[in-house]
Amino acid sequence: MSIALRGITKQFGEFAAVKNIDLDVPTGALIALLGPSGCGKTTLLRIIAGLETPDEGQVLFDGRDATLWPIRDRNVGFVFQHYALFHHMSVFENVAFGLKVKPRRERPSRPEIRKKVHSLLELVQLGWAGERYPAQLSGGQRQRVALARALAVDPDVLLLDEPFGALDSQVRHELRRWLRRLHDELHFTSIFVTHDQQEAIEVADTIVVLNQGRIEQSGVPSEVYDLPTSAFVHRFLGQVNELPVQLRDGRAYVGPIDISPAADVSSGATNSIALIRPHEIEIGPEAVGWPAIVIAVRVIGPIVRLELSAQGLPVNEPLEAEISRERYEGERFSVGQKVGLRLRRWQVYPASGAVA
Amino acid sequence: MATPVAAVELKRPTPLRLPQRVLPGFGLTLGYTMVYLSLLVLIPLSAVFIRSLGLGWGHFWDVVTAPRVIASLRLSFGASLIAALINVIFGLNVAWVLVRYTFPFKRLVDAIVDLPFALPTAVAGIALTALYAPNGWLGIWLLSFGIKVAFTPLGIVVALTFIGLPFVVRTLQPVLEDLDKEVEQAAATLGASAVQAFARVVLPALWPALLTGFALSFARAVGEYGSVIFIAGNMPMKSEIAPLLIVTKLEQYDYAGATAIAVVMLVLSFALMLGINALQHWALVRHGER
Repeated sequence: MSIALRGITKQFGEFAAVKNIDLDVPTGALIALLGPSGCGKTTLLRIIAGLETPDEGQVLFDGRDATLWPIRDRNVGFVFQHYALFHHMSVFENVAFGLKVKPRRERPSRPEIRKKVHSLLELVQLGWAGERYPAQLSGGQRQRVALARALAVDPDVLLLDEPFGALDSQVRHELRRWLRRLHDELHFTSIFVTHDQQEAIEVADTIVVLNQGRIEQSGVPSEVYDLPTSAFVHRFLGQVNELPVQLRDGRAYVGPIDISPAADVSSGATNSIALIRPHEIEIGPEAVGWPAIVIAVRVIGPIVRLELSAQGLPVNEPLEAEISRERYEGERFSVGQKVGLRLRRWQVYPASGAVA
Repeated sequence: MATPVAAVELKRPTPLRLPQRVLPGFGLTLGYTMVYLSLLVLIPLSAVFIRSLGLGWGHFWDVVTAPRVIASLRLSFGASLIAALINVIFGLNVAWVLVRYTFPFKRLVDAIVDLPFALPTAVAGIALTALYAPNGWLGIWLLSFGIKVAFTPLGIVVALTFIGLPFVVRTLQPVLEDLDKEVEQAAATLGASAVQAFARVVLPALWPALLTGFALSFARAVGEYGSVIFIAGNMPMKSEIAPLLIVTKLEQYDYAGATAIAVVMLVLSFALMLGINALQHWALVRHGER
């Protein structure tokens, strides 16, 4: 089922959670609503589920206006951050709930329910846990039960509200991959909310970045990551170095030093801010490029992070650069070493606006 | 020199490993609890038993199986049971409204719930009697439907309901406040109707608290005296509660007889409380202690 939002606005008292949002989610897509807390992403998800009613605008399910449909008629599966399992029911009963509350003429027979629940529990790799109670399971297992429960009613849309937010990173990573596989197998339309850019990039087909109740940018993950259209998106999707730069005659300067990257820097106001990801900083011999001194080296598994004090920048605002472990093994940068920097790729935004 | 040192190290007695607690004083507080409970509860109650022993078994049996005593016990426990059940249903409603909704004067309504706690029971009894007497505001009206409240067992139920209400409301309120609304929302997204969500998801979560509220309200009602004697009419065999019968016997200097009835009430109450506790334990275990 496709979902479309048209001019959705929602106010909580004085606080405008969502402002005039338009969004199209095609059938079978897996999209991530990404943003910092308070950006309106959860509100948007809850509006789609019918758990909130928008003040203005329409929610369209397959082109039909579903804005005022009751929650139970929408046939959406909703997965909550804190699982919202029924504590007094066994895992089996939890998953069977959606089937058992169906009106009599739609309700499957008992053996059918049992069969379906067991196959769902197998799907989430919890075939052994049917008789357990939620309190006896770990966080990751509970969230899988919640997923199986949501899938039991064959939803047209699966909505997930920070589904892995409360789990530790190992389990999270596993569940992300698992969710992606599940989506590819079952082909339902999924929307999930997260504040974790890594999660969004890893799982989703499309990322929608929200900020202060508005959509900042949407697109496929690599596009949003590589070509952010605003400083906000640039900052939100990963680490960045921020450089105050002056643009003159198609060149960029920090103080008197020309630090222009290979790409053209013709656009932008005179006083601008340049955002550069740590892996876009090329470190070379002292003579070439922007002079800098290595002030810290930290090996983080496959990558090595260097802190660099570059000429013309305040000493307490070092640049962060990332190089591969192999590169580091080859060149052995050490603290105090003098190097030259080249900036491979950056984006320039007007200096005044933190949110360009 | 190294060897003896090692030997000494080995011989050093390992200290008894007690679990580390942030706040000390387990022994002291437990001792105090035992003394306190003994002085306040156990010794007075055992005195009741000892006193009634003076009767001898045959005599004791005669006293407690006298038709008037049986009738009063049945009335006391029956009316308390009904009152507690009414309180569970309407107390849940009151607690629900107070927790889930905001409305003008909510604070005031919340405070009114406590009035039956604070009011001297005699005042409650007199007020209810004045209201429900055949010539009272409500009594007249009810009488026109042929319903007599004051001076009947029905009146007793009214009084016991009145005094028991806060127990149910106050035990439910915190539990309702803690209740995760997402669980209801989950039920709704799974296709449950409002009634289904309430009956299958909310109510089971409230069971332990409802049972506690029921037990407290019931216990209070069984022991109630002050408010009942005004509205009951106190006719032997019809509207005479067991506590009143005890007082009557005391006034006739029949101490052994009074304690005999007291012992029966004590045993019955204790058995019921034990049963309710067991039910509660079962409900909690089923909940998987969260």
